[in-house]
Amino acid sequence: MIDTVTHERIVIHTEGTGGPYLMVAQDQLSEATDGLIAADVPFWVDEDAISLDGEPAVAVVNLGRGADVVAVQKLLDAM
Amino acid sequence: MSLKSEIETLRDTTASGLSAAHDHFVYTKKLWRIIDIEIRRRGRKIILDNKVTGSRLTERDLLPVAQASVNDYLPSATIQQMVSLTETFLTDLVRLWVTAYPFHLKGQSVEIQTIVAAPDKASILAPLIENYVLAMGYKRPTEWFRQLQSMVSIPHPTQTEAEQFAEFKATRDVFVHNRGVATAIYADKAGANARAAAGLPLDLPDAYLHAGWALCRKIVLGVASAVAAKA
Repeated sequence: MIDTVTHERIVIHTEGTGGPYLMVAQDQLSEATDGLIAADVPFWVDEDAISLDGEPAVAVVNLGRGADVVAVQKLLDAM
Repeated sequence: MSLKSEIETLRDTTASGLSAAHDHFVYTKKLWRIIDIEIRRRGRKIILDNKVTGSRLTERDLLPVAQASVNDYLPSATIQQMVSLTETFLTDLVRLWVTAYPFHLKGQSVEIQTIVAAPDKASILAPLIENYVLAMGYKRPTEWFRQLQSMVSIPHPTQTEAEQFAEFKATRDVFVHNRGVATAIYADKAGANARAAAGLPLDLPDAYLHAGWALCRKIVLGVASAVAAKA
């Protein structure tokens, strides 16, 4: 899956102890979450997307600390 | 100040504290997300120094701090604050009620020396009231509510709300005592509302914290108003 704003591959971030997550432009959020739901991947989305200086809002999808990051990244890459 | 006014003041102070805790969670989370977006998507360079320890952080060092703060420290601290405020509200409420109606202390005994040395009735009752409230703190939330409702007949909280609060508090206990990993004790305390089996990590999604905040607020407002009406 390619980010429509940065034009880069959407990757899962794993730094720290807070659990893996990904950032996605708001207009791609439903596509990403539909894919996760279809693959039965648990997740939750931050309540609010953040927009800075009028740029497209960015949503954060949290995968939870038990997530299979490799499998979910493959899923995203296939979208 | 009348008992009714004291209960209403306690209610308002607790509700205000709950709102402050929720605001702190939401705004602090947004600030960390802004930092994350600035670094990852906008190329912001950041250098922070701690001149006391000599440590130095760059924007790359801040990314793990951001996610750990947002999904680890912040929700964990927030659930602790919410449960603590609600718990303190309930014990303070019971303290107020028992102080006004000390016949609820029946069954407790006092040494004759204590009575002889006490300047007045309030001095005799004070330690008994503290023991009563302290003992309540060691019980489970469903028992707190049962005990409260045995003292003053009120319809709050409902059985469902009491059980939901028991799960919320059990989650708090897991973060305080077991680094966020569910235990058999959690499963027992949470009952049918348990969100994870023993040995699995418990997450604290926004929606869960928001629902927990609304539950705590509803319990505080409902219980306080019902008790104040009977004061």
